[in-house]
Amino acid sequence: MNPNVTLESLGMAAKGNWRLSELSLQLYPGEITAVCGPNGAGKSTLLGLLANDFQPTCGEIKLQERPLNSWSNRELARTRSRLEQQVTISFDFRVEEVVALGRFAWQEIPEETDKIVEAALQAAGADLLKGRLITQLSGGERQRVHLARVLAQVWAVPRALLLLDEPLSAQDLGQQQWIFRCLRRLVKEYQWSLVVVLHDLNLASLYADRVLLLEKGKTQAWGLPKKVLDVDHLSRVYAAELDIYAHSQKQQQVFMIDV
Amino acid sequence: MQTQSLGKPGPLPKGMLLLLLILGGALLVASQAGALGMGPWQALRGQMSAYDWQLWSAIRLPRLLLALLVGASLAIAGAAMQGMFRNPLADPGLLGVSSGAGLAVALWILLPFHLLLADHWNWAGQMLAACLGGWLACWLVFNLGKGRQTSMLWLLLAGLAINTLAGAFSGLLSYLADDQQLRQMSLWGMGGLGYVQTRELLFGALLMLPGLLLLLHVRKDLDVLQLGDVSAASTGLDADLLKRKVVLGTALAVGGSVALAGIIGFLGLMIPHLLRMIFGPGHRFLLPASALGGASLLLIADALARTLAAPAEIPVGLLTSLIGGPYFLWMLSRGRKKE
Repeated sequence: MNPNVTLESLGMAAKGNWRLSELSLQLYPGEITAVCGPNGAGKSTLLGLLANDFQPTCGEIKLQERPLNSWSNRELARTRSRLEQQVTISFDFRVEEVVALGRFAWQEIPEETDKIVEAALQAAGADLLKGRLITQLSGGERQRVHLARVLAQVWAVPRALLLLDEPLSAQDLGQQQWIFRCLRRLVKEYQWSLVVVLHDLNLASLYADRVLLLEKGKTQAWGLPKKVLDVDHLSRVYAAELDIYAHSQKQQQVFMIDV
Repeated sequence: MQTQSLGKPGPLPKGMLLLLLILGGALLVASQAGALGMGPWQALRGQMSAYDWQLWSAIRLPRLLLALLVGASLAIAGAAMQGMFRNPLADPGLLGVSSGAGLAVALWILLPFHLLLADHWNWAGQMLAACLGGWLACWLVFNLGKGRQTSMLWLLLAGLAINTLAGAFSGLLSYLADDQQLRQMSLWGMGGLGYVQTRELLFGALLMLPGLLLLLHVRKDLDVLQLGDVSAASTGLDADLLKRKVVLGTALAVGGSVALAGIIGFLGLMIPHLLRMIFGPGHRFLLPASALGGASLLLIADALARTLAAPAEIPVGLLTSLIGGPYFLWMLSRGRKKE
């Protein structure tokens, strides 16, 4: 199978510092890739490069075998969507109007909008928020609405690339589980490539197909969660003492910090 | 009220019909009220002499059209700027676009262009200068605010700075002006719809209508911009292009208004704010609704300005500020409670 996204010796320097260097990897369709690492490791830089916020200093990104630069804005908007850590809307839009903004690149087929908005709201665990004003929601509720918008943008597009920057940082346990189960189902169904920046190693271990562990702009480990998230890697990268447990029913492992 | 911004076209909200009715009523009232004391009503019933009718169509008709054009321009420009700055307090007057245009007009009056140019060219030049001044002020605020989430405080301070600067230069210019120029400046500076004849009106419309159409054309894009530059871009919007369009459209609409009618404040703030409560914040309906609302309000304000102290006239800019000032205060106090 051909990779969906290819990064070739990607590097990004700003003000004389390498924020990210020598990054090479391939993302396959139908997989969730978790990007982990301590603060300042280059997680957001990587997401920014994949989202064309800035150009790489060296190296190249290919999406579906075409260099990212050769895509038009419109094509990209229909193939790639991204969720920022924080989005602030200052006017009283309704929840479903905000999600419908994600369909901006699809204005020729407005008849699908309502159906897709509905489905995306449900997948993001936000369907009960319909009809409410975005300005009056809590931080966690707003996060789910914007996640729904980002899902709606590439809804049912095969092999789309989704970039999520800490999408669940404000969600409770039940929401985290619901959303990740939905995401996993959608990723398999539409063969999406999902790149998600995660601080919660347990979520990365349980739901990701691949994990990229970054430290100071360099790849520390890349591969299956079980291989990457081992106690040596983690305690070195995070400078924390960790305990590692096997999940009682699954193959995966879970983590806890030492007291 | 449901206003799916990017969903199915949907029916025209009932509020829009109501606004059209209000505009019709305002036109009717404004066409009758004033020193002449008659209008189309009398003309239809054959009670108007040919002379009166001529008088009406030479003096009143351009004035009505001007109120329509300027009211719509200021309100649309206000709504579009608020969309661009993602802040309900952005207003051509408060942000200094109007005073930038005003400064340019004062400069034009003072510089000896009128010696070189025929009268109508002089007029056209004054109008272009106003647009240029408005564009410059708008561009300045916009570039100062680039790359940050513009808070209410920031916007007001930026506007204050530009207004102060423009005010100081205008003061300097009036110090340098001779008596005749000074009278011309102060007459123009009070703001009013009574000084314009058909020729100027037509030229103004030539500048302002493209600006209005440009703003109306990008109204759906303004919704997406509310996500912020980064998210809007990944949704497929060319945010920089959109902002350049809004700055240009606003400069044409506001510059033309200022050149024709002086500085008329608060319309661009009040009308979109009021209409957002009815139509919701989606710009698809907000912009056209603002045009209708702004035109109605200015028609009525101008009719009041003509009749309240008849036979004298109150400058209409004064009247809108009298309504707008308290409204602005109310907005501010409400905004604080919400936070």
